[in-house]
Amino acid sequence: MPKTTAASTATQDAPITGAIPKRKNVMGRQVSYVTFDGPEPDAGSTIEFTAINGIAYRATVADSVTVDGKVTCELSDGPHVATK
Amino acid sequence: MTLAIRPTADVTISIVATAPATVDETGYEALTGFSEISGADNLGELGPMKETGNFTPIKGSQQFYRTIRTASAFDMSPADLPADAGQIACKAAFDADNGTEAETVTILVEDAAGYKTYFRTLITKFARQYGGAADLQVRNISFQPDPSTFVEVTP
Repeated sequence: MPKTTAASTATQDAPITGAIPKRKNVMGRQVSYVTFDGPEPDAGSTIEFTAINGIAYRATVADSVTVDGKVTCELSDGPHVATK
Repeated sequence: MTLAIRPTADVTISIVATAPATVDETGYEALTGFSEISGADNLGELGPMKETGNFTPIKGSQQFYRTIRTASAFDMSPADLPADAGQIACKAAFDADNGTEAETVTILVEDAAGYKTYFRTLITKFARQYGGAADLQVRNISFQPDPSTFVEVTP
């Protein structure tokens, strides 16, 4: 069961699976995103997700938006491979 | 019909020392910490190829067949920028001991539309070139990609 860190502002209630990490070049700055099926985490929270390649990652959410049930989170840190 | 051509201008090449967790789009897209190699002047051909062999029978025409997958080495000569994070990362990989994990780096080449090419590569040359009085000092960097690690990503 994924856990949030002490710095989190929201609890991750359920495992996030099938997530798709992406990175965009925004005005010369590399910005990481992850897309998955909701719910939407709060800004500042730390999430763990299993990507479609089967690897578990951990990341900190900067901002989120939900469109048609798909959540896209901009990340302020990570994703990093989650080590147990 | 207008062709969706993509100019090479503003294509960037970036480097990170870490390897992806999986050598696929997801693994590469989850990597962070890329540093642009500033001042790149030319990027050439990036991708795998198959070498060919041939067999010439006494009777009949020569036959060609595909053999191993390989990748061409390529060079570029950016302006020599000793404080540039990307060039510093290239130097670190070049200086790493042979056979160590640190000698192989991940490269991202991306155009303004978001088309990307990722691969893992050795850095086989990191040399300053002075030239003559009318020349700029440039940094000749040679790459030998691992042919099994190329992944192209569309936006």
